[in-house]
Parts: sequence; C-alpha cells; structure tokens
Amino acid sequence: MLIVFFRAIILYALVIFSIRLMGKRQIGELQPSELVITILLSNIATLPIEDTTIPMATGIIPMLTLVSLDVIMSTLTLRSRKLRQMVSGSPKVIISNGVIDQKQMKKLRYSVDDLMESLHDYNIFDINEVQYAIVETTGKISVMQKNDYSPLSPSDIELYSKSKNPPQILIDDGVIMHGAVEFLGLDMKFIHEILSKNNVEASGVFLMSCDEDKNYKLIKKEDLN
Amino acid sequence: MKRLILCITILLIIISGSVTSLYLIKNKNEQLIETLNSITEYAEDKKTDQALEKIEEFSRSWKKYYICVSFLVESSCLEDISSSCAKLKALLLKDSEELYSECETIKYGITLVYNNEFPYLHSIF
Repeated sequence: MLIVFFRAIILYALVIFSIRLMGKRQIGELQPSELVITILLSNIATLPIEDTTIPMATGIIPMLTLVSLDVIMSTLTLRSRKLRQMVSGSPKVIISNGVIDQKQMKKLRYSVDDLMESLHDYNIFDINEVQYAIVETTGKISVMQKNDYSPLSPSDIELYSKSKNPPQILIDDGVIMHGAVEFLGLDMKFIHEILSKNNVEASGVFLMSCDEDKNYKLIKKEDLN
Repeated sequence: MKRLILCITILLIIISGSVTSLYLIKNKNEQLIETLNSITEYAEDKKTDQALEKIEEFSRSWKKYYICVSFLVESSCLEDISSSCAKLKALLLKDSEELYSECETIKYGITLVYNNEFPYLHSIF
C-alpha cells in the first residue's frame, strides 16, 4: 500500500513538472501534438501506480522523453514554418467576404451546426453578420463581424484616449509584490507613503492595486475573529 | 532556451543511462552465468564443498544484482529467478539431477532480462 502511495506522490510531482515544462497553454488551445502528449502522459502515469511489479522507470522515462521531444519539436517549429505546418497544420478560411466556402468546410468535416455553434460563442445568430471566419490550427473558429454589425469603438467616432496597462496588485494579503511595483515604475517610498496615509501596515492590507497613473485602491484586512 | 537545454539534457541523460544500464546488465549477466557454470561443473565432479561455496557466492551476487536491476526490469521476471536460486542449495545437498535444470532455468531467466532490455527490432515493434 505504501509503495502505491509513494509512487503516486512521485508521479504527481513528475506530471506537474512535465506539464510546466510543456509551457503555458490552456487545454482548449492545445496543438494536436500537445493534445496527444497530454493524453499519453495521463495514461503512462497510471501504469506504475496501479501495478507495483512495473518499475517506476517504465513510467518516468517515457513521460520525460515525450515532454522533451514536444519541447524540442515546438522549438523547431518556431524556426521552420514548413515544419510548423506539417506538425500543426495551417488555419483555414471558411467564410470570406460573407461567403461560406463549402468545399473547405467539407474538407474540415465541419457541419453547419458546428459553424453556427461557434458563431453563437461570439453572440452572432445571423450568418449575414459574418465577414470572415477562420478555423485555427487548434480547431477553434475565429470570427470577424461585418462593419455594419460590429460594436462601435471610440476610434469610430474619433475619440482617442491613451491606452494603458491594467492596474497591478501591489499588496496581496499583506505581502508586497515587488515585481508589480517594479513593473509600474514605482518605488517602496510610494507604497509606504500610501500605507501611512491610510494608517495601516502592509501586513494589515488585504488588497492594494495601482495603475500607471498612481490611482490606487486599498482594502484593509477585516477582523474576522 | 533554458527549457530547450533542459529537455536536451533530460534526453541525453535518458539515453546515456539506458546504454550504461544495458552494459552493466550484460556484464553482470556474464558473471552470473559463469558462476552457474562453475556450480554445475563442481556438482558433476561431486565437489560438493566447492559447489556450495559457489552457490553462496551466486546467492550473494544475485541479491545485490536484484536490487539494482529491479529499478529497470519487471519484478515478476526477477522473482522467478530468485525462487530458482533459493532451491539450488537444497538440490545440491540432495544430489538431485534437478540442480542442472534449475541452473539452466536461471541462466535462461538472466539472459531474458538482458534480451528484454536490449532494443531488438522485434522488441520495439
């Protein structure tokens, strides 16, 4: 029993390490090769846990090999467009100038229902509103609406404003986020000034966020006892 | 880039580790088979004391080898060899003919451990 327990701990750590090594991608955005590796990893990891007669190496070696090959392959595909197309395929246009490419849809084995379902995700219920649609290599459909139906943006009415980064969290549950302070180009003096102005220590702050223009929001910790 | 280097390092470690382990298994197997051959020779010549000594030597070597090789090979395979190994002493003292067949079983098992690890084409596919 303890063997299974220890093996589970080791493989849990190894699976996390492997996933981290593969990089930051959401499950829905996995490339075909990454999806295959993710499925294989979960299967391989279970074998040595279930069967204690199998040595751990038979689980660890294929896992690390697959993940390493995936990282090497993704680095190579970054450098070679041809290889990238071979491994991941290329995006396919299925609607252009409002016209559906039925031949392409048939090739991709996409039904009208699949297309409509994807359009609904963009709050589009009338196909006439679509100017351009493309099936990405991940299988996700990206849609561009016709100008007449797309929401009005400030630039449409020549209203220009300065674009800026979103506010950063400077204190998270009493802990000062030095990386965020640096990112905003602020210093600790500024933080201490705000803290003394609000009559609170950093440890007494539940959340403090601030933007590039030094507009901040400070929420003190509540006494929950 | 760090990630790529780490992955290449992992692959190199795996490849070198696999080749080294294969080499160690081969060497150790040859040693064990040699000891088994000596056991059968001594048993045939009725040199029981020397044969007993060799069996003891074989048991000790096997116990050490078992621990190392169990990291690489399925343990059910090794347990068969261990159980045959445990019978050797008794068979020798009984002067049984089965001693030779047990030695052959062990030799076959040991060879199988190596053959199962070696990447023969038929093993890969």
